[in-house]
Amino acid sequence: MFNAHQDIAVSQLLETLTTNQILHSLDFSPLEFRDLDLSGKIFTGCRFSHSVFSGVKLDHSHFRMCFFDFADFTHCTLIETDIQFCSFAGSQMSETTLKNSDLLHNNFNGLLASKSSFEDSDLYNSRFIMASLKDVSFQNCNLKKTMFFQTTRERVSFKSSNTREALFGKGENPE
Amino acid sequence: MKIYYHYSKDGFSNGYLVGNEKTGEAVIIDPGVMNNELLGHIEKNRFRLDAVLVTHNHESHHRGLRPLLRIYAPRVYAADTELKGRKTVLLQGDGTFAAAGFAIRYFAVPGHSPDSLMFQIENVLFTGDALSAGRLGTTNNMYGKRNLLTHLKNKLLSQNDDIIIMSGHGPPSTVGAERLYNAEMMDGASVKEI
Repeated sequence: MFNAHQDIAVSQLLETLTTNQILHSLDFSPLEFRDLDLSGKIFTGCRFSHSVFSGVKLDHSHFRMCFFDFADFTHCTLIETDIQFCSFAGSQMSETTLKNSDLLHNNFNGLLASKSSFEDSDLYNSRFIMASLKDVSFQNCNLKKTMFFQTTRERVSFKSSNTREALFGKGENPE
Repeated sequence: MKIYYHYSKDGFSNGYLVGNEKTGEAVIIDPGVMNNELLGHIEKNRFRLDAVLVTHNHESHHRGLRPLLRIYAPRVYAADTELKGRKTVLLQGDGTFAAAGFAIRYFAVPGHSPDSLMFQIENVLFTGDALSAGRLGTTNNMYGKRNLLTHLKNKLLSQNDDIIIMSGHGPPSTVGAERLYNAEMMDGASVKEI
């Protein structure tokens, strides 16, 4: 569910973020989040465009129709998260892990990722068009209908993943 | 405005229920499937279904129309005079109409199909198959592609970067992201699949 965003003061936004378990339709862009533990929270229709996440723990969290476009994730953990129908277009991920997560129908186009992991995750119907991936692991992932077009890859592992069900651009197939 | 996203495994297509909390009314965009989940969203919110908007006349985008019309009596808006034996409110060119208390803008974007439309409700643009995240809609020939590109450049890229895009297939996006990461749109070059 996605709602039109509400206008709320930054201090009130941050208080809502830390005290509430369920967050609907809030616009957090372009706030900075450092060394926070936001594990287990539920976000629907929230916007984090151009936001900075550094050392943030988002394990077991749940996101629906959220927008992280052009956000920056450094040293973040999103282990066992459920993120569906969200956009990370143009975002950056460094030393960030999304291991063992449900990451269906997500937009990772233009993602700039390094030393990050999607291991053991379900990436069904997600897209990595024009993404730049360096030292990134997609080991043991479900890649059915996942698109990798015009993607730059350096030391990217797809070990034990169903790459034959993924969609790669011409000459970009990892096999 | 409340939006519920609905995925059809039959045609791998997206449908959307858009509710107006002020009026208690709703519209459905591209009912690719009608099932208990969609019914549940309508009933749980006690929405009165005012209209169905069809982006184009392809089965995967209106397969659920017939069962939907057995339960509810919405107006059906499309760029075809008839869908599933039901007369529609015909939309041609670009314009605005009112449904569910929303001022809904529509844009003709022929290319993927001659009857393709985009709908805009507040800051969300429903693009159907004209464009999805990082991809231009498929077309049958170069003329269709050029036609689609021209319409999208005039009607989509002319909008603000933070306008949200919800398409007929694939994940959501924004106008700003498509401006940067939709190579087909940027230069008209085709991304070749294996």
